[in-house]
This record gives sequence, structure tokens and C-alpha cells, in this order.
Amino acid sequence: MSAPRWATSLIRRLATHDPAEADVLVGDLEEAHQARVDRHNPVMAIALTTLEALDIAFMLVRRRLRARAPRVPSFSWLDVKVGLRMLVRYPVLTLVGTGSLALAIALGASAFAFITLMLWPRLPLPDGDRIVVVGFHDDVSNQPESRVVADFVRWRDGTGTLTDFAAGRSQGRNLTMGDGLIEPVVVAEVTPSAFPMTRVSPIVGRVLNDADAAVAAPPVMLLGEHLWRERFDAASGIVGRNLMLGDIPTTVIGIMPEGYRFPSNYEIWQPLKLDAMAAPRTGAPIRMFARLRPGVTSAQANAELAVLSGEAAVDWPATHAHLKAALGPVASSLVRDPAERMALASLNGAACLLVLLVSGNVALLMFARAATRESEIVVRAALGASRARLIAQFVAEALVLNALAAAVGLWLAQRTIEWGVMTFARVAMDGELLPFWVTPSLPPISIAYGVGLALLATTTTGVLPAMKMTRGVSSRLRQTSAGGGGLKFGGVWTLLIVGQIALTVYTPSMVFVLRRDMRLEANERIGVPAEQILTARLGIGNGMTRAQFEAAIDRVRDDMAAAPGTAGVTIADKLPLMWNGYYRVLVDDGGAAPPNPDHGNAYPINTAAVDAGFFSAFDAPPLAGRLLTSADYIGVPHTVVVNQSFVDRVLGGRNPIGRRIRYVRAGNDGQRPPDATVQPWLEIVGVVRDLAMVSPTSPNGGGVYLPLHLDGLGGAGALNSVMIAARVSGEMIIATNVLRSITGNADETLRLSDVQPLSRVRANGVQTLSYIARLFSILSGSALVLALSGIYAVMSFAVSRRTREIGIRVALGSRPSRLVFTILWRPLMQMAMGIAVGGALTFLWADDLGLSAAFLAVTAGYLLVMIFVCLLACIAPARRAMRVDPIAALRND
Amino acid sequence: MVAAMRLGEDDAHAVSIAADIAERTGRSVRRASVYMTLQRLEEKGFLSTALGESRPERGGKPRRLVTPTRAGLAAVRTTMAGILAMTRGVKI
Repeated sequence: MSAPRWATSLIRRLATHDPAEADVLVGDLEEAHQARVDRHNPVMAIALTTLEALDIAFMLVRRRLRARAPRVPSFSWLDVKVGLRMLVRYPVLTLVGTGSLALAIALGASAFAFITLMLWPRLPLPDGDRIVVVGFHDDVSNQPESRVVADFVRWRDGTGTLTDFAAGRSQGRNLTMGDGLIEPVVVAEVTPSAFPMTRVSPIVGRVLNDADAAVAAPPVMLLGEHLWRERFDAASGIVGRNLMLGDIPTTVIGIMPEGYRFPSNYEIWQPLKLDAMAAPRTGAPIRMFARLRPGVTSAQANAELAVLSGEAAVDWPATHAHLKAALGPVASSLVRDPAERMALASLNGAACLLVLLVSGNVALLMFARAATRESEIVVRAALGASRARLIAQFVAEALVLNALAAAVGLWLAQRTIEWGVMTFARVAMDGELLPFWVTPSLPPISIAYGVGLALLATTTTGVLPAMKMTRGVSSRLRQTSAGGGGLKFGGVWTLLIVGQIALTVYTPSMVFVLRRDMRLEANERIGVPAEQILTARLGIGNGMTRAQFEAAIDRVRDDMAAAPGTAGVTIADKLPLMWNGYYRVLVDDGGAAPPNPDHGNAYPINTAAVDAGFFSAFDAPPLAGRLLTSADYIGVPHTVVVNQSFVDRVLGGRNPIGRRIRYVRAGNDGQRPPDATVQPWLEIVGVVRDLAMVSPTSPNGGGVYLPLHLDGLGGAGALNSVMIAARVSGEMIIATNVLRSITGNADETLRLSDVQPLSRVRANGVQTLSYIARLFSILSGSALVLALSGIYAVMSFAVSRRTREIGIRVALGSRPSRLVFTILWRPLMQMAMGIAVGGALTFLWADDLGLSAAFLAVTAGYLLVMIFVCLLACIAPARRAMRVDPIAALRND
Repeated sequence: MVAAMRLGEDDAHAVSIAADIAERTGRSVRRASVYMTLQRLEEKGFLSTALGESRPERGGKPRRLVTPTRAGLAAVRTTMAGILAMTRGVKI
């Protein structure tokens, strides 16, 4: 008596993947059924066999589900070898794919490194995360307190949670360099304990010790490696030599290693001589540093500081009742505004999107490459390769490509971060040294981030094409020939190609605008040779009073004017070719131009505060009225001089003399104009020619010159620095040395910086614009290459997929032109859509920016070139299609 | 594994293994579980399988005979030694 037929049928149906296995299972069912029949009655045997058959059927279903579930693919060395072979076999894809991905990874990793450096800096010192600043804050006045010498003396031997206490402050000095020049420097005066705290040893000589910090000790100093190398030619015998620091001969006792600029950006260290008997909240302002004891957290240290603050309040109630100590980081972020921090951090998301976009493109190419290997995939499936195994191979191939891209990308990222940090130092910090924790190197976390981006790209470039290629592979296996499974590019790919072409069309307009701005910036003239005007910034030094500062400025101006070869000297808060601020004014009887409601019916202008010699120094005689005279500098400003643009744009060419203006908004830099709420209107007394008050790329309505008041008379605050400009007839280097010497003689603490010819003022801005334009050019070129390779991929794919159809059409006598059009239809449509979208964006934008007809003509020409290049990408696949042999194409049938 | 070793390579297959376990332990075992276990042991390399001859009591269908591999025998020995070592001196 056999097992029920339906039970054996059920098992056979569920075990279709392996007929031999089905036979074994059915045989087992029959054998077990026979045993039951022998042991029980037939009805019981049928019932038990039925239950068992259902149980086995359930097991087969579970097995099937398990087999279908996605598995983590396993790679072998063979997969990697195949991946390497593919790189060689498809050189164009290797070049385009690796290049694009490398560029994207480089941008992503360097952006991440730059953002990390800016937002979450870390001290590059041994256990640097354990070094903290002990800050003090007065709860009543809501002000920080730095007169804490008494507190330092009280705690310097260590507390329960903090050790290695050190203190420091900065001092401006003039140092006689190796070439004899006197230059202003900022010296870090630190307690000798600062060096053991930072755990860094000198490369030559020794660090400061307690004897150096004694009151009667001879003056000594340590130099930084950068200063030693750049200004003393790394002289080996410098240790022990006396250098003039201010007017005091100071002995060099050692050289600190490269990159060490603790506590911020210092290159000279001197002992801080503290008065140990200083009364609470008296003495020199200092910063206090310490190191967290091993195992102690910041929270525990803060808790202890709260207790210690309480004890100090008991001991010194008059000064410390409201003074609280708390920890802070030494390495503070340069970007403090929360909105700016958020904006900067969000750039990481943009970088990820870029990588995804680029990897989507490369996935398109990988898919096209995989499509040409469809027969291979089908054969491998026929030989027993599972879907997971096929996917693993594709992923391995993508991994090889992305590993190569990651290596190139990380190398590029290192170069990018070096450039980024140097540019930031030059543009944002006026060439000053950056804090020593901002290092131009790719930190390990950024390398890990870059590798993560490469893995993300691997997922896109490997898994997506693999999933699409292996879908329905078994159904294709059953067909007579490979290639009938209906593989095709979907709407997403089309969208991608259209978007890329649009981007390619659009980005050149940005490059055009940037290059135009660059040319305008570089070519702007002020009527006198800018390369013959020496400029510098004079800043108030540490410990200088206002009177000393103003006296020093006057002396520098007078001495410079008396120096041989100097034709004119002026002092101003801003000079021509510099950013001259953004201000808004009202005109007493209204301007000629329609007032802008966004500006509160006021006119946007630029403003500079200048001394009486300004216009003669720049050879700018009055075009109407008069210039500012000494009478205009007495008391609150009540007169101004305007430039020709002001007359043209704000007054519409009307006579300006005697008209009055009033400021309703002031810029942030330089001398503030008289406050409109308390000051009378300012009368225009003269007109001068335009002296490049602002970047020509963002012209405001015009320019106004106010009388300069260093003490901020009539404004909100006194000036802490001003610009000096001197017209020189001789060598600029000689004039530079003269200025340095005069500054040092006027006051050793007066700070001199940004010494350069006026022609260099815009060089940094122009260089930055040039870098950005170059970046856009690279992006535009990459987008073009990707778009073309995308079109090429689509074309190649179309031809390989439609070989049989082409063969049949040729055999039936189809005209070649008709055939080519049929094949080209889809990529041509994509190209047309992309060009239309990109062209529309460009022309819309052109209107906003007021781009010239020449630009539009250039853009139209560029569109034609684009069309030509796109057609070029279609030629090779089209020629291949035309050469299809009908007999060969139909042989498979 | 032990049942397969006892039954020998000429008779060890799913039905006989299930019957042997039921007879010796007095506890019936689902054959579906036996199939799954044998598959896992084979994947781990502890067993090898081969199709036997067709037999009339099976409706002319072959058996899938299982044979413990060297690794399988070593695993059984290790497990047994472990159990003996752990139970030595323990009153059960």
C-alpha cells in the first residue's frame, strides 16, 4: 500500500529545484508509510503519513525561503583578480569611474577634515585632550576675570583633580631678526611649568626653568622652529646668542619643535615673572592652564572647582564672593556662531550627496559593462552559481575600482586640505599663523571617513547593477539565448543623465562669472600706480594707552613723510582696493535713483574715514567743491566728501555740494559714522574721482569719506588699528624696511602687520576667486565626462541589446538613416532635455546677474559644442550598429 | 552522528536514523528535523551523502545514505570526551 498520492505530489512540487532530492524524500515517505502499515492499521498509517508529509512540506518551504533570503556575500582572491582584470579590460570606465569617484571622495574627505578642524579642534600634544583652561567668571558683572595671579599661586601645586598648573599671557614686542630687520612679534610669557604640562621637549637647547622666572634672572627666550628656520636660516649657533627683543638683549636658550605654538600661535616664549604676593584680583591678567589627573573627568574637576571657588569666597569675600572657576577647552573653535557652525557641519551632507551622485553615474557605467557580460552571467548561473555568489562577484569588482579611487581620492584630499588651510590662513587670518591645532594634514578620522565614502560608493556601484543584472537570471536561463530577459535602463538613469547634461551646461556660466569678477578685481585702477604705494596696518599694542597709540601713529606718519623717497603719507581706517564696508544713508531731499524699500528707502554706499592728507596721497584733486581741511576734524564730524559714483548713482548727477546725508546703517569695520539719532546731517563739501572703494563685482551706490578720529569721536568706539599708506618713488623693499624701523622707534609695542604694496591687497581675493573658478572648471569637466560616458553607456547598451532587432531590420532592407535614428532616438532625447534644462537655467541666471550679450553668445556657442560632443559619443555605438551582420545576429535563433 | 555511525554506511539514511533514535531513546523524532540536521551537518563537513540503490519498498526510489566524515568522527570524539570529563565524579 503506497503513501497517499497527493502527499508525494506535494513533496515533488516543493522540491522541484532538485529532482533527485525529490525522489529521496518521496522514497523515504513510502518506506516510512510501509513501516506504519505494518505496525498500525491502514487508516492510522495514512493519517500519520499525511501529517508527516505536511511537516516535510513545511520544512521544504522553510528551506526555500532561507535560500532566497539575501546573504552576506563572501569574496575570494579570485574575485579580486577578476576585478583587477576588469580594470585593465575596460580602461575608459576605469579612468572615468576612478577619476570621478576619486574627485568626489577627495572633496568629501577634505571637507570633513576641514569642518572637523574648524568645529571640533583637538590639541596635537601628548594626551592633549587632558589639558584644560581654568577660566574665571564674575557672576555679578557677568564678565570673565583674568586677574587671577593669587588664585594661580593658591592652586599651582595641584588640586585633587587637576595637576601641572601653568599660566601665561601674550605680549607684543619688536624682534631684531636674523637679517637685521625689526619686526613686531607676539611673545607668550609662560610659567616654566607650561613645558612639562605639554610634555614637549626642545629640539635644541633647553626649556625654561624656575631660575629663569626669578625676578632678577637675566632675560631669556625660546624660539619656535618655524621662526628659527625662516628668519634665522636655522642657524645652529643661535642658542646662547643675544637677540634684541624690544630694546633688551635677550638670550636664546632653545628651539621648540615644528608645529609647537602653545598655547595658540606663538613662536617666542619667555618666562612669566609672577608676583607671588599679589593680592586677590590684582596683578597682570593671565590665562591658567592645567592637566586633568588620570581617570578624572571634566565634570569631576568642575565639581571640585566649584568647591574650591566657595573656599576662596570665604577666604577673600571682598573679591571672590561672586567669582566662579570652571574648565574650558584650550583648542577653541574659530567658528562660534551656532548658525555658522550648523551651516558648516551641513556641508558634510552635501559631500555625501555628491559622492552618491557620482557613484550613481559610475553605477550606470558598471551596469552597461555588466550588460555586455550577460551571457557570462547566465552561463555561471547555469553552472550552479547562486544569485548571492553573482552579486558577490560584482561587488568585489566594484570594491577594487573604489579602493583605487579611495587611494587616489585620499591623496588628493591631503593636497586639498593643505591648500584649504593655507588659503584660510591667508584670506581669513591675513597671513597670520593659525592656532597650532589647525594642522594642514588629513586626520585619521577623515581617512576613515574617506574609506566610508568609498564603501558607500561600492554599495551603489556594485550592489545596484548586480541586483538588476541578476534579477530573473533563471528565467533568462530557460530561454534559447541570453539577452531576452528585458534588461533596460529605467527612468532613474534617464533622469541622472539629463541632470548631468543640465549641470554641464549650467556650470560654465558660473565659471564665466567668477573669471569676469577675477578680471575686474585684478584690473581695477585707482589713478596712481598701486604698486608704488606701501601699505600696512598699525595696531594698538598690549599695555598701550590711547594717548600713546595716537602719539605713535602721528609719529610714524610724520617720520614716514619725512623719509627720503616718500611722496605722500596718509592714515585711514580703510584704503582703496580694500573692502570699504556696507553702509546705508538717507539724502536730505531724496536721491535720484528710486529708493529701495528693502533698504528702508535708503541708499547703499561705502564709507572710509580718512585724514586730511588722504586725497593728496592718492593724487585725487576735488572735481567739485573742496577737500577735507583741518577745520573738518574739529569736534563731531559734520562734513563729508563723496566720490563721483555717489553723484551719478545716488544723486543722479545733480550738484552734490551743500546737500546732506544721514547714516541709517553702519558697517562693522573701521570708524563708525555719527549716530543718526543724536547727530546732525552731514554736509557734502566736495567730490573726488572714484578710488576703488569696494570690489567692482558688487558695486554699491557710491562712496563717502568721513574725517578720521582715532578716538572714535562721534562714533561708537575707538579704533584699535588703522591703515597707513605711503607713495614711494624708490625700491619698495627699502621703503618697507624704513617703515619697520620707524614703527619700532615710534613705540616698541606698536603692532605692525600686513606690510605690502597696495597692488597686493586684492591679490588674495583674486587668488581665492581663481581657485574657486578652477574648482568649478574641474567639476564642470567631470560632469561633462560623466554625461558623455553615460550617453555612451546607454548607446552601447542599446546596440548590444538590440543586435537581433538590428539584424532583422537590416535583413528586411531598412534604410541606414532610419536605423541610426531609431537607435539614437533615446540618447538624443536625453541630451536635448538636458541641454534645454541647463540652457534655461543659464539664461534665467544671466538675467539676474546682468550678464552681457557676449556671455550669452559664448553660452550659445558652448551649447553647440555640447551637442557636437554628445553626437560624438553616439558615433562609435552607431557605427557598431551599422556593421551588424544580419546572419550573425540571427544565428542564435 | 552517533546513529549514523551505528547504522553504518549501508543503512544510515533519514528514515533509519529517525527510527533508531526513537527506538533507543524512547522519544519520537520528526523526520523533517532529521533532514534539517543532516543538511546542517553536511554543510559543516561532518557528514557526506550519496544516493543509494533503488529499492522496491520505497516505490523504486533511492535512499540518501549518510557517512560520517573524519571531521565528523573527530567532533563526536571531542564532544564525548568533553561530556565524560564534565560528568566524571558527578552523581547523576
